[in-house]
Amino acid sequence: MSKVWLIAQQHYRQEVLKRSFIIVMLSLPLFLAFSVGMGYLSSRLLTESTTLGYVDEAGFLVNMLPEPDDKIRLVSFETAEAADAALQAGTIDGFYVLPPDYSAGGQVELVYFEPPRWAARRHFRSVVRANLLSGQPPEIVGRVLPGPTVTVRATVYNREFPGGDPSAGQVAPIIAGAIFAFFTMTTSGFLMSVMVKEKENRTMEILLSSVSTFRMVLGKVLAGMGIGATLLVVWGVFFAVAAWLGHSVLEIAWLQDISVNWRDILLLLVVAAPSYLVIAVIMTMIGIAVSNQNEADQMGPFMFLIMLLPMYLILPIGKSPNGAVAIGLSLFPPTSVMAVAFRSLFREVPLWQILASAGIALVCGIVLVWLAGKALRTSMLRYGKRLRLGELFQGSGNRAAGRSSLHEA
Amino acid sequence: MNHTVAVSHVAKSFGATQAVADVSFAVEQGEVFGLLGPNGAGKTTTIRLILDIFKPDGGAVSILDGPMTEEKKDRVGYMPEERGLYQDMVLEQCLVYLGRLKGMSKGDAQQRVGVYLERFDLAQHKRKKVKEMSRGMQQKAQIISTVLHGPELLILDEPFSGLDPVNTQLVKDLMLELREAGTTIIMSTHMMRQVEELCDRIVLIDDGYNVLYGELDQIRRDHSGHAVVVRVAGELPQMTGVETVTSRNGALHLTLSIGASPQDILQQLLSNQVTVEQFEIAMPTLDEIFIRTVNGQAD
Repeated sequence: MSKVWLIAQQHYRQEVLKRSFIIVMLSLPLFLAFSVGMGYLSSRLLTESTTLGYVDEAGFLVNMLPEPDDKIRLVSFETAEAADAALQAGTIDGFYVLPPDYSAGGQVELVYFEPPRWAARRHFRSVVRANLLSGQPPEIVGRVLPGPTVTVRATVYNREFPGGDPSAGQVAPIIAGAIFAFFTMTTSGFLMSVMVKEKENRTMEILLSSVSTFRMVLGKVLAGMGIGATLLVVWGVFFAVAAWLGHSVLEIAWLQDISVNWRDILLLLVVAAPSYLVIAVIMTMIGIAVSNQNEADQMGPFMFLIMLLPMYLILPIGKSPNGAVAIGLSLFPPTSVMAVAFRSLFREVPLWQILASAGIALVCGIVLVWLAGKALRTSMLRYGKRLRLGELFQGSGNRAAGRSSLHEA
Repeated sequence: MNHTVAVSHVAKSFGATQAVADVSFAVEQGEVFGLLGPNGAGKTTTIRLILDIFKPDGGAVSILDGPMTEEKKDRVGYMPEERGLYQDMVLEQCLVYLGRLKGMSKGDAQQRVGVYLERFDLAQHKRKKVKEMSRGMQQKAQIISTVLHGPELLILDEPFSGLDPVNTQLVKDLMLELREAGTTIIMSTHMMRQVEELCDRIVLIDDGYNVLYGELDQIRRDHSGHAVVVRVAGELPQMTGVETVTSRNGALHLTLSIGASPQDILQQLLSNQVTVEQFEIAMPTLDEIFIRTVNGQAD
């Protein structure tokens, strides 16, 4: 087995078998399942049905609409006294009175002890509106009853935002960006932590007598990616099951349209791979530079603040998705993924910018891996001490070109 | 002749600090070689240059007939002065992992770890985490991790530090056994008694330069002549060329002044009609040579 895989396997196994890792891995899905489950159960079990009475003195309500669910019921009363008696008896939660001159005044009276549920009142209002529209052509009724729907379309490319909340498919790039951020935080945090531990344990020098710095770092990066991927797979399976339940069983509206723009996702991946390399190596170098875990814990979050910069600048990015701020953040490796993800919401990001972003990140990543090797060697001179930025890169001179014969003293 | 390790005029600086200025030596196959020097002399940097952990600014290093390669790393065992084991790992797993990093198969590594744990009296601790073991136990585990894969070249930086006399002897026996099996050993230590017992040849580095290099016996002979051990009947007469006289185990240890030779002393004794029961040239200890050489360099 290659030593790179051996290192990756060792670190991966050691991390994922930790009790703390398993707890973290299972806690989020269990917590979400518990919260959503409790919310759903409470909405199903604890929500009382609402019965509203109505007294149609105007003889206005000719057409009745079907009730939206079994929790809402409308009951007709001949007189206000009868309805009031029912309210007093607790068989209804309130009642409407449409006076004889309703058509002229448009005024309705609602009588209650406690305000009835909004959904029930909305249903009664729909019934009234449907009757107001009686006699109109069905297509007019079909347009007026649901109310206006505003769809915003970009003048270029193929972005559009229908009225109401965005669908799951529309926010897919943002979800992908958030997953990347999480993935990067988890795995590069692990890399930083491993480097600090190996410095503290003094195992680094022993490892370097067995493998090259490149293989050592690569093995750890692979382990980190494996650890992140494990979390993603476990959580992904959970979310897939949850989405299926929400879509097919619970019929949640938001999950009905989950068609994804795969071009955006694919291009995001092109940017994400080299960007991940840059962030992972920077975090590795932080691990090399600091002297202990506490310092690492203090310095690590700065990297994530930089990575999430596009989130704080979402307004200027949204206002001008092709402006200098948006393009600049897209080309800067630590922020490129989030910036491209946010821009994808508003318009297609030009292909040349995607390729430029990936190219810049790749070159930076390779240079940083080389610098990390130098920093690693320097760090061995300074066990237990923090390295300054200038010192990080002094450790390794070039192999001298000149060779001389062996001289025995 | 092909040397196991050949270091030729290597130099290495870190910023403004010259860690190694000009060091050269060669280590022959199957010998125990002492890499000596005071603190800060450049010993550890030299070892790291040999292992290709650092790249030299000048000069060249040959190890196992050429530059260091990834394949050759499997043929070298290294125990650094700063000991390093994974503290959170179970001892047996830790050793198997380090063995596999040296190219061993899992089965071989497990089998050899078992043998060495028995030999070093650690078998009953193999399921313990490294951090739960004493410093001495960790030191022994470190030695196991260094020799586990049967290296052709062993580089040991202060191998006896932290060991009690029993375990010191255990490690010495292991080193001698490995030398018998043909393993080349480079040992860096401050313990001159161990060097005298184990090493065939040494290099003494001071301030980044090598100041002594060669066979241990030859070096001691070269540094003898500064003192004689004398046992006489009666009183020792007044003699020229003698700086100090000390009594050791019934004999007199005469330190000679510069320019005086043991022959001068013997002639004076005979001309004074002294009955000489014992007269021999005192061989200096390595400690004395070390101190004299390093102080001489400093002067």
